[in-house]
Amino acid sequence: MNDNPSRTPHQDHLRLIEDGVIDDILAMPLDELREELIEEKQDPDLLIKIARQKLIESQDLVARTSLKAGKQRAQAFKASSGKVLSLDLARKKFEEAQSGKSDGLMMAARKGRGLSANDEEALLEAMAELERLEGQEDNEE
Amino acid sequence: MMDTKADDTLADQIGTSAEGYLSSEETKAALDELTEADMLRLMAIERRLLSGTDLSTGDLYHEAVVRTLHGNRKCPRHVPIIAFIVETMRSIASHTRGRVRREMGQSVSIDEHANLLTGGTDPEEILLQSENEAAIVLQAIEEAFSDDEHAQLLLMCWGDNLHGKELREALGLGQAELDYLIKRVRRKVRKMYPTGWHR
Repeated sequence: MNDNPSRTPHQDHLRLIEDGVIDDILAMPLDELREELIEEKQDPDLLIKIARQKLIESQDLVARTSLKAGKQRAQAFKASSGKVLSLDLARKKFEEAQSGKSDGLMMAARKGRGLSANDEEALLEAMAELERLEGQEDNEE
Repeated sequence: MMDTKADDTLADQIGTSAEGYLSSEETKAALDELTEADMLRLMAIERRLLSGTDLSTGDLYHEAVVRTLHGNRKCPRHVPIIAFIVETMRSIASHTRGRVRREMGQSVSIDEHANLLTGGTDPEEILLQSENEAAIVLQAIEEAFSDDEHAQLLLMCWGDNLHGKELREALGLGQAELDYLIKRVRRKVRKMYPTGWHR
């Protein structure tokens, strides 16, 4: 019977009685419940008003929280997509620099006469950028 | 409103968990369908559960609805949403009472008829104190039915977790008589402790 080890036999017994009392409130005629509450100096209409207000507040709170969580997920996705694009771009830049197709390469290099000092610099910059982005990606994983 | 048999408790209904839970949309729709009568019943039950917590009117109900909408607690399909909110409120109230007790370090009077009990923050001490409090409340309830043999027997049977046929046989009553007895006992207990017996 006692499925909660933190409850004692007497507490368990009381909980069973409480189950019954609660079931009774759920099942009793509404007029009778109103009368009882009024006897206990409670205002049934005020209680209903509070309940309705709390329900609206709860729905608003959950909607706001869900919206915030959705925004955070979207931002995280956007940031993640941006990084991939940068990495892809750097890789492409590096490959172009390496193959000599880059517009930034000197005419001499494109004509197959070796890389100029500027070409070498562009290539090194692209490699450095690629390494930086790849390192960033590894750290985040 | 839920259809509840006298000896089929709310905890029993929730305990027989079946497969499947309401989706978040279904949960929201079910909460939107709560009637004024449902709300009044929930607030009347909340009133019984607030004792011993540091929460105010509406807080427990609010917290239970938020957790249900958030999906922290999922409502099984076979359980009426109102019953689910009640059990969620009970759970939150129970945890809140535990926190309040630990925070206060505890020096609690049980009720006007009882002695002052003093405990500490040690879990065993708190458990012992809770047991003492429960024993005092049970004794008061039993005394209130001292001239009602059937009611006393019913309380004992509940303590032994007897329900349904076993309960009818133990009391030697038919279903209609038993239903009436149960209703009488529950209502008297509710009037004795309109805001619950937790301290």
